[in-house]
Amino acid sequence: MTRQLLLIASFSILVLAAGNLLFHYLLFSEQVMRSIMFR
Amino acid sequence: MQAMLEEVIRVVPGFWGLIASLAVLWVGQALLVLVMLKRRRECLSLEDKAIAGEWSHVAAAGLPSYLPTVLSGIAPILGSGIWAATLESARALILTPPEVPPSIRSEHISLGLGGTLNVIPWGIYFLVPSLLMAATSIGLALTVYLRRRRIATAARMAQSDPSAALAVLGHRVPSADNVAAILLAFVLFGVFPVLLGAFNHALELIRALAASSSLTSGEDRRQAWLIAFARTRTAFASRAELAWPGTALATAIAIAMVVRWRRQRPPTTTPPSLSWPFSIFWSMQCLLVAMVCFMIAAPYRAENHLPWPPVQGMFLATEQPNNPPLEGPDGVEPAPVLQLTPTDAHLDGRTVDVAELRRELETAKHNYFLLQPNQPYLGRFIVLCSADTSADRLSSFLLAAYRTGHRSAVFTFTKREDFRRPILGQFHRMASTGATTTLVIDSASQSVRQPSVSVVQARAFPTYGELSRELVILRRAGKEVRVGL
Repeated sequence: MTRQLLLIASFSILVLAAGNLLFHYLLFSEQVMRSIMFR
Repeated sequence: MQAMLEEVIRVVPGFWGLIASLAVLWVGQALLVLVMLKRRRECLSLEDKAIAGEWSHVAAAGLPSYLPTVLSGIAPILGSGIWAATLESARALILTPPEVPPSIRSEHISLGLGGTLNVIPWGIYFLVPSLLMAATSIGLALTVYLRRRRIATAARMAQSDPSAALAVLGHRVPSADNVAAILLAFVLFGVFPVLLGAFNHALELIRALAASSSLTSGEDRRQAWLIAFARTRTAFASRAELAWPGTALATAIAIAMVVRWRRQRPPTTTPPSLSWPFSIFWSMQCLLVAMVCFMIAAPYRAENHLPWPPVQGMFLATEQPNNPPLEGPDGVEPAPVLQLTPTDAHLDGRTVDVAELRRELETAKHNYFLLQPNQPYLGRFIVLCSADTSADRLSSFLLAAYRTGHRSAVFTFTKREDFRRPILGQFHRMASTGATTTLVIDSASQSVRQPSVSVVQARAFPTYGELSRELVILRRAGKEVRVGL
């Protein structure tokens, strides 16, 4: 049971980290667009 | 529809290459799912043989290769990489440096905006099936792994105690097949909220871009964009935040299933379980990849959270040498820019003398009425002047402007603002503030006797440095300032 839980817990962290990266990477497009106003 | 597709093909960098490579990945992933289904069938038949006591068949069957499982994991990462590379090309167009000629730069920016906003939804169209296929094939691979491990344990026991070996297999443990369902739950509840948020974010920005194109004033467009950015970001963040409870839900589903496997088995049998080395190795891999994801996300997070300086007011393209270090109380609106130093004079970047200035301003006024015959002409212009320019020299240029009907002079002061962004790097801009005045000729100025109006004789000051200080003091005191020429 512990072995399965260990894998599930680390996979959950991976999913959260991937989601966080996806969110910030895609939101960065907005910053790129905003930068037009400053160049 | 066709026009929309043509537009997407035009703006998305390397559209056909992108589609072809993603299609190849999709086909590859579908094949991997088929391979995994075949493996599962073989595994079930092996289990049947083991239950029937045909241990020689079981011993002869080798373990399946890990390669298809690894490829199943790599495929969506590779697809995301291709997607990100296309997105980066579109972003690079938006970030075309200001040194590039304006016409080329604006073309690049327009292409880059279209590209960025189209690549995101198109990438999500690709990524959703890709993630579902990856979850299915990896889930099936884990199912096969769990079953094969149980069969191998039973086969080892069969030599000494065949009845104990059969007891190990006992039943088929149907829920072991649900590993794919667990992974699909993680994709569905943990990743989809972010993708859905990103999809809506891109569509909302496309809508805002289209709506703002009807605004004629640059300032209005800028404000419309800022409002759209704030609104769409909040909507994106609130959708993406659902990934937290979503991942918690998927984790709960996974734990519930593992508990169910253990409860379902008859007490004498071995539940399907992972080996310690397998569990530790793959847990470490998950944590390692998670750490890499956090590290890659860190600068993007910093960039997204760092606020931008305000963009109200006008920013000038050039710096005026020896501009008085003053801050005027008035805003500066776009208008012709007269730049003066003791030796040079420019109107909107072109070198002029007094006569040429007069001609150029006459032409500007004439063109304005041709384009907007029903709009009043404000006769406003911006004065950027070096502090050491003599007031006499300045007055002669202002007089030329006055004679063309340009009587609203905005004496403008620039301040260089430098700031650095975590990813986008160094920015500098010339923020401007002004002192708005009305030009009058000497005789007219004498007749003014209102307390709210102050008349300043330009030639009473030796240089623009002294004159500008006086103008700012008066404007700050709320006076309407008239400059006598």
